[in-house]
Amino acid sequence: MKKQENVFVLNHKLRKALNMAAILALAVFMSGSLTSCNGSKKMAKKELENRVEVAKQRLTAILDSETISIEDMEHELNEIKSWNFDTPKVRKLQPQIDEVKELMKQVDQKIGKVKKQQIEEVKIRLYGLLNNKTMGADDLERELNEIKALNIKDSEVNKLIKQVEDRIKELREDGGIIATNADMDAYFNQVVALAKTGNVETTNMKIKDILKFFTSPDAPLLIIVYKDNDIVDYDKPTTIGTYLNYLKDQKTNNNTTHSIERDNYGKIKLVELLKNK
Amino acid sequence: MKKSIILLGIILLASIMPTFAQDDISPERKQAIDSLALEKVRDLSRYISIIGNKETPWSEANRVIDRATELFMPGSKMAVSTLHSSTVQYHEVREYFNRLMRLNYDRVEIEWYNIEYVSDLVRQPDGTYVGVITIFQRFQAYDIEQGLVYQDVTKKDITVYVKRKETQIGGRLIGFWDVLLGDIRVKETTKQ
Repeated sequence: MKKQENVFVLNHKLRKALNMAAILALAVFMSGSLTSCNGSKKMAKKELENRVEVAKQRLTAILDSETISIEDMEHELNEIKSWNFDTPKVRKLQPQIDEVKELMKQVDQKIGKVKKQQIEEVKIRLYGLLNNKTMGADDLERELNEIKALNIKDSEVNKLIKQVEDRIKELREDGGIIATNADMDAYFNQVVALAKTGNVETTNMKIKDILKFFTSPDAPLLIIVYKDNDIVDYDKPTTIGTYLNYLKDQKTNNNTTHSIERDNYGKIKLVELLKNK
Repeated sequence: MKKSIILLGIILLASIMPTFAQDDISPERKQAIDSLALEKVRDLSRYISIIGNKETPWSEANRVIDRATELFMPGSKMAVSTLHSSTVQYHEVREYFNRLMRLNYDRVEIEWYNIEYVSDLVRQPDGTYVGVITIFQRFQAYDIEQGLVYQDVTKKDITVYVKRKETQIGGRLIGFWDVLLGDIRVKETTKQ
């Protein structure tokens, strides 16, 4: 009976000790978890503070920059927006967050303004291409591709791009354009080369094609035979129509284009050649 | 009185100086005029070849006749000779070209060569430069069945007139050398 009493006392003591240990462990656990919660909150706040600061710096840099591209501005802004300053509510940082939001709004406005400016500039460039009567199809296409690479979404710009594309197509169908003195010489040499084949019909067709670039077959053509400062001697003035036939008849080109004058529509109204020595 | 005469003399001399200055053209400039006149004769040579060529379409030949005629002074004549006759015939240049186009052979080949000055361009009192260029013309006529039926080589002299003129083009005053050919005379005709 005495032995049974002893076992009971031991069990009671052990249970009490275990209870105590459990309470202690819980207390330790509770105290530990409380400390970690406070730390992560502090970390989040610190991180937010950092991000707000970085965002302010980057947004201000965008606003100050005059050279940053639209793509870079949009990329930066989207990244800063993705940091989502609305989620963690930290009352103390709210003024700074509001400042960041204001900066983001300003950057948005700047992007809009620059885009509008870019559209206007591109429109001017496109109108310039449409009105340019001296550029060849290849040059026009090169300029157009540069504009297309800007990837501008604007209905009027798209309309103008289409018009330039049509002009390029037209030019290619017409067989090009006389844009430079060298182009003119190339056409003259083509007449000579065709004439040498003896095919009068083909040569005449080429002459007809070339005459399309001129105000009329009677557009004057001058040949400088001698030039020394103020003294300029010409051969007897002729016309482009007569000269092209002259090249066909003589089968040789002894002159080089010196200058070209055009009318308001880009048609050639006068050609000046220089006699080769 | 003596002083007045001297002064008047100086004024007169000064007034005619520009005229002398205009006449005095540099050798380079003269060279350019010489070359231009020679080129006109070479152009004529090519035109004659086209007109005589039986393969030249009729419309083309007529156009070329117009161009060739424009090279000459109005009323200029072309001397024509053959090995069959000692007489030299003269035709107005347009008439000559028309006859050349209608020559009764199946094929005609005309070539000018050794084109050069025999008398340099010399300035005349009226400001016109006059010179003489000589050429050799090889004429060959073919029959479709018999082949070459006639050929000769003729030495010809061409008088060349060059005068400076001015005209307005596109609002600019253009000074140009007007080169015109005169009569073409036969010097000699040989078989080859």
